[in-house]
Amino acid sequence: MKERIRRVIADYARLATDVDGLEDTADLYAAGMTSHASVNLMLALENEFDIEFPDRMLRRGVFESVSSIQAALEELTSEVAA
Amino acid sequence: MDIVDVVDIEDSLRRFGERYLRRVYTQREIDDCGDGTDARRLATHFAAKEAALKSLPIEIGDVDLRCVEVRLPGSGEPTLELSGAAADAARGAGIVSFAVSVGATRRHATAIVVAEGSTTFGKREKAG
Repeated sequence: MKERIRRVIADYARLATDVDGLEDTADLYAAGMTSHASVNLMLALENEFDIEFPDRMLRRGVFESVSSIQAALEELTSEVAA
Repeated sequence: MDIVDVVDIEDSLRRFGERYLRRVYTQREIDDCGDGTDARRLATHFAAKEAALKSLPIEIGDVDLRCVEVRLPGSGEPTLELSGAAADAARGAGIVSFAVSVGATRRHATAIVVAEGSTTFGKREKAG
């Protein structure tokens, strides 16, 4: 999952640096992601993982790092599986 | 203040279409932007939303962008209508109105928002 997340980030987050050089917990906003790019990232993640982020997850903290995105996706996919 | 690249909006429309519009703009804004086809006007709306959120004591990204609705009349000044968390933040900060200025070229849209509060700073009540 992490590699897929990183690939989507590389394609849509428009970072000022290479995502492969960032730690999983690195702040993507600090790495140059604008709020408009974060909208694109969210929509691209929905496409990639065939999920939809509910309104309660439309928060900065959810999209600020590889780790936080992974946690949100795991929560959503477990809800679907339950 | 905020500045948005019109090409970024065009990219989002091409990649995500209706889903992009529904997550960012209110129905009234979509209608006001040629049913969501006018990228330059959408960019202006986005810049104004961001500029407004920057004026609030709130973390951008924690607020649904649709909570800031931008009105761009053909003539007269642009206005904002806040709802949800954005309205709560403005109320909590004592903000009573916004002054909005927008502009756009073929490439970029900009917006400046000044939040106007009800509190008068720098004055002390006289004792007795």
